[in-house]
Amino acid sequence: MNIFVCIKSVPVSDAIIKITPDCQHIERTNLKYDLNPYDEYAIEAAVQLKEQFGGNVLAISLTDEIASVSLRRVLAMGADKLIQLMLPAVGLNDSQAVAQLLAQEIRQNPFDLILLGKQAIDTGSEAVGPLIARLLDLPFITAVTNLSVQEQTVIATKEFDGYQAVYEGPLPVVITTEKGLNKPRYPSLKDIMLAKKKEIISKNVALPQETCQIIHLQPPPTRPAGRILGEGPAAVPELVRILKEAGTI
Amino acid sequence: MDILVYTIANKGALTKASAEALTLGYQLATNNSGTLISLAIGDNLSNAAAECGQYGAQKVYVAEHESLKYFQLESYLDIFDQVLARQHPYLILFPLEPSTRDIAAALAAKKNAPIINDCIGLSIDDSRIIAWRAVYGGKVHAQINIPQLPAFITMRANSVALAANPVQAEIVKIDVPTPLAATILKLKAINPTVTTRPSLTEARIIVAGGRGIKSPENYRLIEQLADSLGAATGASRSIVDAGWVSQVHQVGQTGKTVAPDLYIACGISGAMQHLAGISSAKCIVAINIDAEAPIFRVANYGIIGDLFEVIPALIEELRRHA
Repeated sequence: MNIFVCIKSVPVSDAIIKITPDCQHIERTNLKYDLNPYDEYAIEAAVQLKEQFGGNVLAISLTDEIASVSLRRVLAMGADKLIQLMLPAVGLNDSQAVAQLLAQEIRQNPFDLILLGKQAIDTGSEAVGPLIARLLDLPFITAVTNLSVQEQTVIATKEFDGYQAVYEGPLPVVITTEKGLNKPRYPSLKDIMLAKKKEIISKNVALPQETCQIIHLQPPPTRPAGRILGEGPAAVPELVRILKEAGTI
Repeated sequence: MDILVYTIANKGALTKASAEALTLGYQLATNNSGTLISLAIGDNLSNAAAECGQYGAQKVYVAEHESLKYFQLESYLDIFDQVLARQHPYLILFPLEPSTRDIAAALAAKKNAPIINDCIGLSIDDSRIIAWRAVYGGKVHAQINIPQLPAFITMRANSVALAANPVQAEIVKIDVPTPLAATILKLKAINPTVTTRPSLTEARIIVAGGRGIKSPENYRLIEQLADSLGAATGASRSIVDAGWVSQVHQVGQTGKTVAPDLYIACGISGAMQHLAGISSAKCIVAINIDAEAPIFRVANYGIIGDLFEVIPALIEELRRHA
């Protein structure tokens, strides 16, 4: 089975994000990047399917010089090859433009399944997976918490408010992965050494026309200074009084 | 220029997030001499359809059939196609939930149209359409220019102040083919998840627990406080990663970003990725034994103390005031 996994390198979740003075970008100096957490579930699912059925796991990323460094971890996790589509600078790009670039590259290779994290934690847009699917004319299932493949058929579970739905369909299909799908592996030292021999292909690409653009970044509104009501249970009546008075409860 | 709002019903009633999307759609439509159109797909929709008129929808499309009770993308898209063949809205708004992300993206893909998920604001100034989103898990707010129409936009719950704008609504029933056209993906099974609590992203009040609860059994305390307030239950990343509670409860950059009226953080120290995820909460209450915990820097009200003493006292106090 040939599996494509679309991945992204993003600022780590505990990074402090500073906005540039022109309010157009974020300061990237000393910003720490890592593999998007949701992509780890996609890679792990792909490697498990490869272990079950054989085949290849191809990781592909739209990235840039600074961010791409943390992508190599997927090779140690079991991906066979990494394709880096290099932009001059990657950022909060339009989902449509991103999906077009990824779909263009994927389409040139044989594949049975495409996996992605359900969202990148920087943009948080959750649209690229479905868009790639539609560009390639494939069905998609987003945010899956359970996934299996049996004889060319995919079975995947997605959570809704009040129910879980189990969908079934033939390969190829696009799946985006939710936390809880699996437990991503920690590569051993041997895996890390072996990964050094794996192929990394870098191609320069240009972003197509964006359907919408970010024109201004700003910090969220600051919260007014809070008040410590007191210590222990003695402070509880005052809290309840305040919340009742404000109509919050 | 018309606006179409997709609405969702839960147990026959319009969801709050749907009413918010209608409220927003009505404001934008009337300010720009357009009309508000709505669409509902599912089962048991008659009450919800009537409610759409209360929020300003002049034309209410309804595709009602028991075979549409559970979400199936292709069948829902067929209904959308019928409506979009008759109406030409320049904005299509959705309340954000697991099904609407899929619908919005699939429709946007077809037209290579802008798709903007999880918006916290949307305005039209001088015929320029501007959306606001939280990025980097809520650490930054981004203003987005939408030069190309139509645009498909999903709205985060609790981002719009509800306002009723009753109008005379025309209900238009859409014919649902029976059986539904065959789709590549089949709905193989439905497993109801039994919960009496509201969903995290829609809840008006959330009670969340972190490491301070010390062991998985003690999450019961969080649930008890939540139930005394009719609240949803949330959790910090650390207790989800430790396997104490399911990931569906996780709040923060790698969980759900929430915007409730009241967020009560119990034994949550306040890692940055968690604080980013609750930054839109209208009121934050922190209960923590550590007076230096970062959560107190963002909390509107704080109680320094042992949550095992404070929470039971709080439940008791709420009971006395009930």
